[in-house]
Amino acid sequence: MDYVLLLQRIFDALFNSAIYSSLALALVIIFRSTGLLNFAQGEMATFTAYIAFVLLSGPQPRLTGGGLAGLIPGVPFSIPLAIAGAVICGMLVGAATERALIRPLGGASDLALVNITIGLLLATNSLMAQWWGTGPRFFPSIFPTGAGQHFMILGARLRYSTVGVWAILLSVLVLLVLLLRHTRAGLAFRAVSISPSNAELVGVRVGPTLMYGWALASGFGALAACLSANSVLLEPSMMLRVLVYAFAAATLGGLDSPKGALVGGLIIGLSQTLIPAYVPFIGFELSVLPALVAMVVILLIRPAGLFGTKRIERV
Amino acid sequence: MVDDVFDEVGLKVENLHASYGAVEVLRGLDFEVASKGVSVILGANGAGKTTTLRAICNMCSTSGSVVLGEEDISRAGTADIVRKGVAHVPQGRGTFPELSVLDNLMIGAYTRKDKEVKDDVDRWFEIFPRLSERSDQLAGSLSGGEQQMLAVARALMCRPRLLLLDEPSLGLAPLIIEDLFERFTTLNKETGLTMLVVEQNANLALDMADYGYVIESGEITLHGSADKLKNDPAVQEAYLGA
Amino acid sequence: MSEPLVVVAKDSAEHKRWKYVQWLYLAGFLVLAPLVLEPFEIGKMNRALIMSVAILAVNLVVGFNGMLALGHSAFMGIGAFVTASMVQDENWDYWQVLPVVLIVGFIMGVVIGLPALRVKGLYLALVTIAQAAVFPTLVNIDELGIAARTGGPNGKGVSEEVIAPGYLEWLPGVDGARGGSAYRYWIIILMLGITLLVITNYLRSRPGRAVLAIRDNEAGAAVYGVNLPIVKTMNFAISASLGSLAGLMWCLDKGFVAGQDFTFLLAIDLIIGLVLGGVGTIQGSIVGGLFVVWVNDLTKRISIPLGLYTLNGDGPLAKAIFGLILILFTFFAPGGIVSLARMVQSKLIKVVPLTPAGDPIQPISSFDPGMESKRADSALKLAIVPPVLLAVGWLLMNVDSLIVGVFAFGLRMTILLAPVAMLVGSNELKAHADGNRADSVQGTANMARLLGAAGTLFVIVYALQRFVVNY
Repeated sequence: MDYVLLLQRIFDALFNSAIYSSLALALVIIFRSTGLLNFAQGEMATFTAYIAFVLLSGPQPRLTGGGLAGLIPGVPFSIPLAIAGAVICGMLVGAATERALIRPLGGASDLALVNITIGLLLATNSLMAQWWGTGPRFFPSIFPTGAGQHFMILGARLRYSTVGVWAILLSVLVLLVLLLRHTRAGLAFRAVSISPSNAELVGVRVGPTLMYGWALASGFGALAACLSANSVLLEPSMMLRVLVYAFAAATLGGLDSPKGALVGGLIIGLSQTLIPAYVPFIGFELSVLPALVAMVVILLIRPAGLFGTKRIERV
Repeated sequence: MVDDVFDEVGLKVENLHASYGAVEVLRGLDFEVASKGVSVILGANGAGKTTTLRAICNMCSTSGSVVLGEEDISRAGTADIVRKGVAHVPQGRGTFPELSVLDNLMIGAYTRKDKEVKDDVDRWFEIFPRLSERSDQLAGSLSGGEQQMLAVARALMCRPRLLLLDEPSLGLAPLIIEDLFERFTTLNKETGLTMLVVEQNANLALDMADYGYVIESGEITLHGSADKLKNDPAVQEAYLGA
Repeated sequence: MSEPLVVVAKDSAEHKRWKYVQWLYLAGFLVLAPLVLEPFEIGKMNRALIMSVAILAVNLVVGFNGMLALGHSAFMGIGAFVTASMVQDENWDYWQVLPVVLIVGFIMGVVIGLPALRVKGLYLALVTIAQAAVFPTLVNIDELGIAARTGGPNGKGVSEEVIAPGYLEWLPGVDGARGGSAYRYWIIILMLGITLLVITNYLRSRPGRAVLAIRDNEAGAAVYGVNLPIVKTMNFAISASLGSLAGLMWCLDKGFVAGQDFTFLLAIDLIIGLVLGGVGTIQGSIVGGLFVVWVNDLTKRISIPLGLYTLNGDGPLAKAIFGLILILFTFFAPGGIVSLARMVQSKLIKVVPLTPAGDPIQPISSFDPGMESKRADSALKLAIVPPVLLAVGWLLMNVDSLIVGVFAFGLRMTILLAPVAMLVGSNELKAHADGNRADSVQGTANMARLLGAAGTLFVIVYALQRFVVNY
């Protein structure tokens, strides 16, 4: 076996893994606080990536929103500033979604909530296509990506962008775990996720707590979209495929576990690259298969995922 | 135990109505809980006991006035009412089964910003040593009696001015119930915490309370001091099994 | 119209007459559809009915068993590919493939359901979405001869179109130009009818009741002795089998199947149809299928100039409109179209249940409004609105074809109310003759009866004319 090649493949897979992990993280945050899966997470994230794109480009002919962005002082922005703007927009969109579409439904069934987010997915996707067209656009990378922009480790190339994405992801994750485990707000999140009515009885204001949760999650989603837009090219459906992997990652790791999202993203990303490379009859066309099979197998052994909490049911 | 933990405050409820959809469950209740006192509401299943407590916390659609101390709280949201000092131990305990025992107590203190939260945790662990032994366990794995203790401790963590208990004896063995009610009595005697208890176990409840109300079909049909109720023939027949 | 216009005792002669009228309408609709519609519209109708079967399959799991399974597009795909392969490669007849497809679907249901149903709620939703997402790529696998069977990325065509044999050419619509699709329409109707019969009976059976019990309270059902894994898996397998049947119908109708037809987007369409029709009702599945296909078609015709650019329903916005409809329904009509229709029906007729002795639980006469009766006014409105809509529709015909489409649909719906107006009108006149109505009612009731009769006549003549024209 060619170990350098193996290492190289692992390094290559790490970039995608990080993207899956971050979107999975967004899903996990919303599931933890709301007990709901946001099917529109990917599309909302893509939307903010377009906002970043507009902020980067400024007023240009035939660029929807460009004129509007031109009114903001400093536009066109530098890349980090544009991404920050997108993340803030993402948080606002997330909070607004919770307030306008989720909260009024109250404690509706899982199906109703799934419907709302599917509706949102369709609406957002086609709105983006209407405004910005379906053709892919080049989105610059925040990290140096040219030839030679990499570390050499044991003969394999580890790109700066991969290291950078992981650095961002890990720091965000550490912050999140600290938030959930060691702050009042984090405890409130967990309480609301278990029982909104009981949380209300200890004085937690449920509505605003959920709104912050959505804002946080959509912020992460925005970050994930902006970081991956360079490699997958910016187009309205760019996160749809990523979303399937992120779903798999989140399920695999346990829908309520941030740690699980990270590990799940790694497993999905690595299996997606390595299995087609070493198992002959699975071509790259089928790279989605092993990831999903892995998910199903793990759910069979642990129905709540690798790190998920088992729901305790009392009759 | 420290005396100054709880403020003195009474509750005064006037013309309280409550309904679920089109069904009116409470039809104009008037009652009071004296400051530092223990009042009990007796009634059969479906009389509206639980709804009374829920209505005080504005957890269902209500009208009427609910005055805590001097302040009208009938328009406030549930979370705000808790912040004003009303702790409610609902039926089904109201604990968080997937949080550890310690986290359950910490979330109980969510409304507090002072530095004495840790001291309070230690205090309740001292009073309920079973909880202390299980502080890292998930609350859902506790036994019924332990869960009820946790629920009460959780409610007391917010240093309430008024404690609402919804059928604390439900589903517990007689020995454990007696132990629990003894603790409630001690709590009231030693700290002066005002309590409103809803119960079907009239004997125990009237022993602990100083005033009682009997509620039937959403209306108060009888009230008086606990001793008076205990000797009332109607109450004896209906609730005391005499 | 807050009071129902007609009050009847359950199973009374009048109630039965109502039921007959409903069945007559349904039969009329079924017979007229292949006669009235253009050939390409019949194709759409077929697709809608196939979707109905698939949505019924989803409903069986989601609506009746409370399991959030969203991946039935894959079962449809399996059914479609098995059919295409057997018919094209092995020269089987569709009727021979049918049991094979049902069994293959059932087995796939067991294979997927057994593990998948171990997980609950949204986890199950995710597993089944994965199933939907992976299916289109599965058909491209070269190993095991799969790609050869499925045609891989190129899809698989069936070279022989399904057309009516000579002895069946008498079926309405089956002649000349539209013969093929109209014949397939009748096959689909037959399959749908049998499916409905089987599924209604299944849900009333012992296992069916267990399925419903699990939905309402899983732990409770287990306590009453329902074997959860077996009942859930069997139900899922039956649903998968039904989904495969829809796939067979798809292949039979289109004569071509490709992996790209059975993506996650189809799964989403099924869910939309389920919700818009009405979760947990059989009628809802049928309506949902029609709705998904026809509304999709209608939105494509939208074209609204908005200053700078034109809001074009044919472009990317078609999906946005669907998304919006889904959200609006979830908020304002969570019971779907069926619940809306029931609401309308409850304004028209009230059926009073019977006591075990066979008498109405409340005397019918107690519902009689007496001298205060406003029923004649309401009936008149019912009789007048459809012709007015009709007239407006004619006027607007030149403005925009979409508006005409909407109006034509509204008209077809409202004209159906003409017999109701006629009936209520004559009821009121009878009551007047008995001295139970004010004299002022007489004129209105007469008018309502007359217009209602005219409307009814119009419907009958229209139907007959279409029938005659086509023969």
